[in-house]
Amino acid sequence: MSDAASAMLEEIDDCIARIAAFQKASGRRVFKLIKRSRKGRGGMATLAGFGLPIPADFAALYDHFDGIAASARLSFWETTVFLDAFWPDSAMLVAANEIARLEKFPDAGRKIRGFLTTHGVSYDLFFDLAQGGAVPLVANLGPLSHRSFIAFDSTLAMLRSVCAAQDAGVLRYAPDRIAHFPPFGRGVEKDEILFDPKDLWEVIRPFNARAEYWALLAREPIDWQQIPYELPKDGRLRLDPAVRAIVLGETKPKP
Amino acid sequence: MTEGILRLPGTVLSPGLVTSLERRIAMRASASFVATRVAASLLTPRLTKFIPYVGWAITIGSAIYAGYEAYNSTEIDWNKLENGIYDGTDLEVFRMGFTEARLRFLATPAGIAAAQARSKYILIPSEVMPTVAQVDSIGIEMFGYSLTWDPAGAKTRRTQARQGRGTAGPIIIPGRPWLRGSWEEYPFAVTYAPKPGAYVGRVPLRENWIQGGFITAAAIVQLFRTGDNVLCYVL
Repeated sequence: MSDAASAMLEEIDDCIARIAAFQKASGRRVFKLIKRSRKGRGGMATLAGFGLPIPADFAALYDHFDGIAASARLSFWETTVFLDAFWPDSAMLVAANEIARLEKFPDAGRKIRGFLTTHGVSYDLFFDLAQGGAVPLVANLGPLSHRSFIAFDSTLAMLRSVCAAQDAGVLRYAPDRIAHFPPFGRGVEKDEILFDPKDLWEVIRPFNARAEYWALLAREPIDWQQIPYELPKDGRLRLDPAVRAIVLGETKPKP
Repeated sequence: MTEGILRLPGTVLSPGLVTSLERRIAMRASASFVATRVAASLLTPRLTKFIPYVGWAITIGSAIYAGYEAYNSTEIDWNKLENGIYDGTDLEVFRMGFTEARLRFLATPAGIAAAQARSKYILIPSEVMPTVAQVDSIGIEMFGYSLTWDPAGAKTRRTQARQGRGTAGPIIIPGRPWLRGSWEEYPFAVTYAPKPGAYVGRVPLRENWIQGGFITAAAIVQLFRTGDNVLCYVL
């Protein structure tokens, strides 16, 4: 391993330790689910098998860890650790990317589905927007909008941003449901992350020279020009059988 | 007789979860049940037992076999099924199943749309509960898939929906053993739709129990509160 790669791995490990410590200090039980594991490496190999180029920092994030596996003991909102996004385990990453391909999401061939949030936006890796080897994480609504905005300059930039936001004291978690949280322009659930996008952007701007998402969010809720999703009248989701199998538990991807 | 409870269809809902569900409703016989079966075998009048040696060996062998059969048999916890009772371990199983399904559902267009609208939802996996899914689909066509969570009014709504109906009786599927039936209503008793009323259909009791577990799991995991908008998706 080169010195640069080794230094990156060390920095990522340090970021994860700081994120786990912050979760613990905030009284969130999710910190117990941040454990060292070698399973993530297998997941990266599977993703690479789909023909996706895996950025070095993204791979490094899964080198000593395997994200956070689903826990039935914690609420939906208690398991986000990268601001409002989940850190999916590699099985979930593989499943999400497999679903994107099977459902023929418009950008499926040019991105890795990365970090899903609790509100439909995901931060995905768009290869064709890479600069100097850094692949940005782009906020997008998948097949429900053609709009997308760079949220973080890279996976490493996201980790640095989360740590900086923690240290700056701009992140907290809702002690109970709040009917209307003005900075988000909507209500929030118990344990959901709270921050003012303006304050967050001030703190994370130095790590994200290319990002536009947070600055836009700081001004007003983003207009995604959403493509309406039509549910069949009988409520039966017309999913590709393979997607259905993934959702209901058969997670092993077909070769 | 298990009345088909153990014959869950060729489901794709994680095999581990299905096995766990089966264990929750069909339990291994208790020690006292095994002892009763052994004693009954010994007391069964058989002329052979009066034949020295060979007859005694047959009697003892029969008793051991009866005990072995009893040990391997299962008892259905009808009380659990009929009264919709879920203990802590049942709920743990349902919550895990729902959590895993929901996270993957979030990656689908319907899941993204629901998350974007900040909707909470109930998933009805049709492979695990095909009859319930059928009844609910008809109900959704009549009453829509957008419901309001209101567990306090469940008893009243259930009574109204089942008014004038007797017991659900057995469900007979050609070529298969009959199943104990139950009434399923849509909107679910713990919810109501903008349009009053409910569609009611007969479903196997075990499917209704499993569905109740999934709804309870959805409510716990997504922190449903009275008045919350809840969507229903049949998968």
